[in-house]
Amino acid sequence: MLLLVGVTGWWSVRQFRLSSDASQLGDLTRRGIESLESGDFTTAARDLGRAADVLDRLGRGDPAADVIRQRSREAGAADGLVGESLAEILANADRVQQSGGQAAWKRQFDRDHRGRWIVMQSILEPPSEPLDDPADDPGDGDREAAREVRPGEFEAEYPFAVGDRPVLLTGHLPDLARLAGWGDAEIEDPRPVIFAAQLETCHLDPATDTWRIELSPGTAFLWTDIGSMRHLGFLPDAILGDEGISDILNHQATAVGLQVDPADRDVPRVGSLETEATR
Amino acid sequence: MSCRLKPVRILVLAIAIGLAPSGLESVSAATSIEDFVKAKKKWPSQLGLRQVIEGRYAVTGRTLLKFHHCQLEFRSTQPLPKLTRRNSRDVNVQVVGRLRLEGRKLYFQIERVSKQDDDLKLYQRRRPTGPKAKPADWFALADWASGQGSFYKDELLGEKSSEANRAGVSLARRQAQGDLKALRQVSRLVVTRGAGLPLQQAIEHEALRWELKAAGGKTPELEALRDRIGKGWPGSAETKNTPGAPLADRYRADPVAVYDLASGPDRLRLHRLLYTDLVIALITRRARAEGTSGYTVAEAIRRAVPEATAEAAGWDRMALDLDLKRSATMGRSELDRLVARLKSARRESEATAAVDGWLESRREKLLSEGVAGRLRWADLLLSLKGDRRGAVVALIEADRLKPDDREVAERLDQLGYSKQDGKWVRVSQGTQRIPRRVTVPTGVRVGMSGKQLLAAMGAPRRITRSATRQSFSQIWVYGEPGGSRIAVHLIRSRDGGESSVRAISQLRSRR
Repeated sequence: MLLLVGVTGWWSVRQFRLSSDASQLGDLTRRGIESLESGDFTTAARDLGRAADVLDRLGRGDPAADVIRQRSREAGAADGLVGESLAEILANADRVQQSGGQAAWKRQFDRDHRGRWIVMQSILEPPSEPLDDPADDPGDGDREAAREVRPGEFEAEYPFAVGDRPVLLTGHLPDLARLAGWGDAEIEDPRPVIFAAQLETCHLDPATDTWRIELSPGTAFLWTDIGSMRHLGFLPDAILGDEGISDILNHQATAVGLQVDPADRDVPRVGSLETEATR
Repeated sequence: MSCRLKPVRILVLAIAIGLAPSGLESVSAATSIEDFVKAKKKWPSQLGLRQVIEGRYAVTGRTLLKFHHCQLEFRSTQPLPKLTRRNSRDVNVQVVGRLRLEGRKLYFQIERVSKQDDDLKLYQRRRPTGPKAKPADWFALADWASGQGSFYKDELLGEKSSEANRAGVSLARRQAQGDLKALRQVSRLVVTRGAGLPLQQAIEHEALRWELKAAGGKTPELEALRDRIGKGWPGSAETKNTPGAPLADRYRADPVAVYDLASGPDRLRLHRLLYTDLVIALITRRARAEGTSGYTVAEAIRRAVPEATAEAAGWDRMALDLDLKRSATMGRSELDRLVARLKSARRESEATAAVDGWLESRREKLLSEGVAGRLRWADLLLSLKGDRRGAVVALIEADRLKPDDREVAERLDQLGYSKQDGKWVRVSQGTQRIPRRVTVPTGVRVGMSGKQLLAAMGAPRRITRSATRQSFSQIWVYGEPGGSRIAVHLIRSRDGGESSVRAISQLRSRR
């Protein structure tokens, strides 16, 4: 009997809280999108994060909910950006490495940069060779099996030499596989990709004498919101132009599966999302 | 009763047969043997009542007649007339008389018997062919034929029933033309009338065409229809069902008629055609509304409808033609993209013309910019046209303007020229090489602004950009991936301040 009363009470409280949260969904979404558009990424990350959580608990999988979840991820990444550019991190890595060795650099990296976000525009390519993963190394006999590349696995040349060493960025972004032209070797001038991911490691690979920056598994995602691009510094773009960036983001939104109102494709308006969110 | 017939009575009976009403008139007044048998329990209460029964006889004797599927004896006090048969099916009679009791046994006392047309003739006569015919008339005939066919286990009548159902549905479809709601009702009627899946599909298709027409230019409605076709019309989502051009042309000219007559496999192809035509129409409609470039449209078409290569190529062609018209005003990277596209479209001569036009539009200005302009001009001639001679001429002119400029000398050296006695002469013929920026160009220095870099070096070949908490970082890469390259690291604040060069580094070639 006590158990029944307890379970009923717990269920009632849960339903009440869900109902209360659902009633705030419109406000959270409006405030979050407004903050994102104004460049207040901390507030945006907080409000959109809560909105996305409510949507998850409500089991919402509609297009408006998908846009809010995407904006929540983007706000979270923009709020947790790494403090220095990769070029600066690498220069520092080289310095520490020379004076204190690999372990000293690893400690410093883990303390200052690991788990921080980067938002990056770069040309990504499928890995030209398998990513080294000693744990998965089946030995010489199974070499071919080990060379299999997962869909969306990528590498990017970070075009900045540390000393004389090249830098390679590696990660996994499943949505890449849905991006038009991805992995097409025939394309001479591939379209750059704008994505966000958390930093996992930055280490010197002695086998290839290459600095490798690895992105945390499961964190990389394609960017789709142009409003936040300006506040992050991507706009104005002297080379591609704002239209070029907008074009990239539109393609990425399609790959991610977002259905943004065609009339407001570039900048989903607060009102429409807020209305949609409270459906 | 006497066994011999009196001639007068025979004559009366014969006249009765001859004058007996036949066809629809008699059908309405008579009870079919089927219904008569079904009401067997009521027979005792019907004793002595005059009844008209019709049906197929199974046995006839001098005074006895028995119907198919009925055990009751039909007896006549007079000898029955000879019931001539043109064929085995010609056995329909109509009997007038009353139920009687003999002891405890029931029998039917015949008062008059008349020959009837057989069921097929009756079916033919009852076909509602006039202008006032209604679908319901056909369905009534179908029901009658079905009932008769089932009772007598007559397959031919069963087929006639199906024929009547199809005719009724066709008539209903004609009458519903242009009325979406009515067409949908007819489609449901096809199911209840068992007129067959192909016919139902044909009517659904006609309804869909009307829906498409009714949607007019409304994108949301068209998108909903596209999704419905993609999910609900078999074969529409499979590229293997791409129809050949003749079928596609015929269908586009007269969709309803061509679909009606199409075989099952052809219908799958037509579903695909219907779907892809709509997908492409929506892509182009959206592109027009949003002013999207033709390349994007072509890409969208290739992604959504891989087999629509001609349509995609058409959009590419259109975009290329438009780009060609404005090629002189393009930036370098845009020109590179255009040239690559033209070459992949095998329009090499136009690619050359675009490059020539682009260079010509900059020539005068660059040549008026002294040494820096000539260096840039030489770079452009080499990278865009592989014009070593033109580049050498420009560099020698630059050297005249500013004798012994280190960068000019380096470039001429890379082109295989050496200054001897104040004159540039070609040396080391066999070791000439395409000049590459193997050292950091003197025009690039730490601290210069992004605008100055752009003016000195032009648009970079490749850019990597990233945002950090406080600043925005860019790396501009010059040089070809297979050759020597330099990377210039620029930093600016995130709020859009001026970029400045933070570092310059040499990159390994990347193959």
